[in-house]
Amino acid sequence: MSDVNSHSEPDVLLSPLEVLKNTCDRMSVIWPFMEITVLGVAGRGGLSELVNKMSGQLDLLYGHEELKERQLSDYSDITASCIKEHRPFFQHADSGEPGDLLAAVIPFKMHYARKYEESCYENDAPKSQIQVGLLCFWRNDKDDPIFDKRTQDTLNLIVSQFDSYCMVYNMLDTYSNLLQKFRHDLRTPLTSVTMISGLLEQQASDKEAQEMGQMLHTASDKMDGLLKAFKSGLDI
Amino acid sequence: MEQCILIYEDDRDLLELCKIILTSPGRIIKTFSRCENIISDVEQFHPDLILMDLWIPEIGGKRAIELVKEDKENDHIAVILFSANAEIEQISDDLGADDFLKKPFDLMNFRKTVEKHLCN
Repeated sequence: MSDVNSHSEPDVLLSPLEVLKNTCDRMSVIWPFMEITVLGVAGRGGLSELVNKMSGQLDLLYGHEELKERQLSDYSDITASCIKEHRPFFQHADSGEPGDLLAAVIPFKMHYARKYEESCYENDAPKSQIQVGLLCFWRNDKDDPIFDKRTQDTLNLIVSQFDSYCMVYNMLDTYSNLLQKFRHDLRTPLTSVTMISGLLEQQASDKEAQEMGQMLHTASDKMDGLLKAFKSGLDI
Repeated sequence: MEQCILIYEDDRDLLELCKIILTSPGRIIKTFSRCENIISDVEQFHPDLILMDLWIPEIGGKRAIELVKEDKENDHIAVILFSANAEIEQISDDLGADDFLKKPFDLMNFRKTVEKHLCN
């Protein structure tokens, strides 16, 4: 059985989605009577546009497909309201239909930077893509407990920490993409320098030009070496 | 018979440098900093060789070469891709390009690669 405290240090920075899945795995251990699903809606533009995409546009990021369908058909008002107002929903003991299994819906925002693609021409800098997510908890049985106030605060804190992680990850990802672009773009003028050094080195009758060509050659080799070394530090 | 080379590169310094290096008697060099009109360029100049940068406006070198290779009339034209892209060898294979030059390449390598495909 998995232990909530068992984890190993990752070699690379985990993506928000990976962190989310790990967190859900651990919460499943803490609350074994709860089924967890995470739903997401992706798109560019403002939150209102995303809310309009709600019907049938949700992706299942974690959990069982069956619960996604149930949520869409029976709880669309709650999920739409959570996204629109960016406020969590918690089931209270004295509210809801008898036997209601939905215990909580907590909205969160994820920002993904568009990946820099080397092979195509892009005029624009990488643009962010907003993804709104819903963390949903379902009781396995109507007699299972719902979340008390203290647990609700804990869950809100977890989601708030996750929001912060997404923001930092997005910043690092954006810078990483920009640096990769700079690195790529530097290699074109470096090619010009390398070729000019070759032309100068071929000036058999001009000793001075030959020496300058050799110096340029050495300098461009060093710059190429620096760019190669720079590469390993780019990917987050 | 005159040889014709079309060079596509959006860095004007490198474009001009390639032209200077390859210019010789009996050879026509045409340079372009955009590639969206590649099919009409090919129809106009009937090149023996195309040198294509991957990252170039407006449609990108990859698409431009696909357009050339899709046409049976043009698929005999030798194509050399150049790019700083780490995947250039794979991209070159996928596109059916005849050769590639990974930036930064040097003068000797550049000349040797071009001459090899002009001789062929």
